Amino acid sequence: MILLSFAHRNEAQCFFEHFQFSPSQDFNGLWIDQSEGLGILITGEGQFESLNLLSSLLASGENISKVVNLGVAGALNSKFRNQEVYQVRTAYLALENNPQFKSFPIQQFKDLKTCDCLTSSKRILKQEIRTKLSPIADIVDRELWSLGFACSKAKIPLFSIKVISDSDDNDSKNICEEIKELAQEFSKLLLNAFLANHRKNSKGDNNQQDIDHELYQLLHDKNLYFTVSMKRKFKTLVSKVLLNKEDIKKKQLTVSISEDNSKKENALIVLANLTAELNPLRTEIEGQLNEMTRTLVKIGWTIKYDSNIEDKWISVYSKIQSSSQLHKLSKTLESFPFEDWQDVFEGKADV
Amino acid sequence: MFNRVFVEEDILNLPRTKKILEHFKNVDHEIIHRIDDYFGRVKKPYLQKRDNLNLYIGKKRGQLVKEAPNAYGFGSDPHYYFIHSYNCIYECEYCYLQGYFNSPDIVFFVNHEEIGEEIKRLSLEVHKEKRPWFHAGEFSDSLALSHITSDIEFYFDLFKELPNSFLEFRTKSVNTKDLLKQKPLENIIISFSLSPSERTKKSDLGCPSSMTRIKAMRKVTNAGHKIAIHLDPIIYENNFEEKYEELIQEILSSVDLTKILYISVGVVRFTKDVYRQVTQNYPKSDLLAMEFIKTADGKVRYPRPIRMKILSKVKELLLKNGFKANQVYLCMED
Ligand code: SF4
Repeated sequence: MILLSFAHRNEAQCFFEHFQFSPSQDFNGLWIDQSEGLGILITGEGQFESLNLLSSLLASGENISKVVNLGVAGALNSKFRNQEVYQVRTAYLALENNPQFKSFPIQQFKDLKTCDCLTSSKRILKQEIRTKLSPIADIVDRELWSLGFACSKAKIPLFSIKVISDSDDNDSKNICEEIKELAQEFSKLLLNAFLANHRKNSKGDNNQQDIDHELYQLLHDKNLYFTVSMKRKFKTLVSKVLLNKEDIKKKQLTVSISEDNSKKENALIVLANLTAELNPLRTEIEGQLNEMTRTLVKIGWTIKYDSNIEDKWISVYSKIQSSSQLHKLSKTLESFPFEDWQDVFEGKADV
Repeated sequence: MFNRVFVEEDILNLPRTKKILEHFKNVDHEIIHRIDDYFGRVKKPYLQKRDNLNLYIGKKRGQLVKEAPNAYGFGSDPHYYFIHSYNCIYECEYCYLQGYFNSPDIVFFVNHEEIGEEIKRLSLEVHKEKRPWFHAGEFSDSLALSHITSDIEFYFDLFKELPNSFLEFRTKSVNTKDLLKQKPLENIIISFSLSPSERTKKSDLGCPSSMTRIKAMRKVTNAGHKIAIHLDPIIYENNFEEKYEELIQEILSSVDLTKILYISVGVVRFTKDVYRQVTQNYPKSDLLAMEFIKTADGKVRYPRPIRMKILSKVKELLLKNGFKANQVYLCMED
């Protein structure tokens, strides 16, 4: 479901008329249009109200794919005019008219004019405060930063469309009156902007192609078994491999798997093949290190080295049960080419 | 180029400020008390440099000239950098500025006289027995906007009086117009950062191509200026040796090797914060395809054998192509 969030019901009035919303049985303050896959949340005005309500809804388990904030905003930028419609690029915050450090980037539709928005804990009514805050953002509202906070915690994309409701230095009473009088008009502008943009691809929707890549089918291959951490590794490796080799085929990663192996062993082979695709030099270096330790492994020693191939240490472990065994092992150890080993780490060995 | 220009009230009437403002007659400019009241006070996303860049003009306060970190420059003399600007109009995917300031907005500091005084003090009092180096361009590109800042002349005049000190202007730009108006000095070096053509196209967004930079190097050396080259950062690719061989050939076919004071070689590395920024800002960049590890000093790098291999291979290529061992310096940072 796409959730539309408004501070006030009258900002949403045209949306209620246009769609078929009915109150949700599960969450107070939420309206749903099942057939359109849309929801409306009226958060109330102010940063705490909006943070509280949206966070509760996102935590309630409702299946929300993105949030679109819609509403009126005042202009800080003197060039902005009443009834102009913008989408927001960044949400900033001011507490008691003091700008705060943390900001939230907002996702963008493709074809709407862009601006930055400052969420203010106070209504900004004086020109002098507008002037002070105008270097930070173009418009001011009372909620967006909080919605950004809630969405970033829940990792849900947030969009925001704003219509400019006051661009002059009016006194508070007049502004409120005017906004009320023009509420229907503002709501219509928001609806039109939403309808014109929400079905188009947004600038942020570019990961789908990757997720559809055939390599991801390997996670469901009946000959492979990935543990949770292996799945995580698989996804990281695939996303990196695809940066360079979009045309890679899953066959390239499965040629060396065998029915004689367990499914998990085969999955490990796939991971190793992915690593080799990604970083053949590393694979060759590891091959070299493994080659140097081959005789030690053969006689039953357990060998470890830095998995990041950064530090030059090697750790060897063996159980010694007789003096002849000790003798044999110490001879093997003496002949271990430790300088060559170090050379590999210094990039000197020929790979 | 800039949406808005903010000027500190203290320096509004300086001729240098007025000259800069001349370039932006059509942009609103607003008078502010201090740059710090706005710049970096809120986190402005880095990629807004593409379409929402502001300019701040003010005075650098605090330490004007800073000691450079170890292994920063060529030779064993003391190295310093001075700060006359913040941020850059280019957008290299690996740029460390993306994790450094909390804003991509450009800042010009105009109190060059005070910076110059500090450089003089360090040259003539603190290091009078040595040959200290001063680097411009630690937090910006030193030539890219030099036609606007008009600061090149000031530093040439300054270093004419300081023959025992060196000045390095580091750049990826080809904006050499102001530079070429100056009479070359033995102790001023223009250093160009270069990568193979394809890599430049992929990672040095908005920068001049490698070939254009090489042409600018030729112009600069033909005018008698000394140059240096930074093959840094090197980004690993399967055939990096061939690509660097080609690049070295291209350099040598345009520039006389003896005019190159030094050539530094370094492998891509990041602080933890910059790496996080790169993954956020350029998630599709192929520079992230390689494996990076976090090393004991907290930096994010390729594993040791890989970066050592890259350094030694490129050094080998340089020597093979006629560079002297004492012209080549490796940025080891280990
Ligand atoms: S030229 Fe230098 S300062 Fe500018 S973006 Fe590139 S790396 Fe950063």
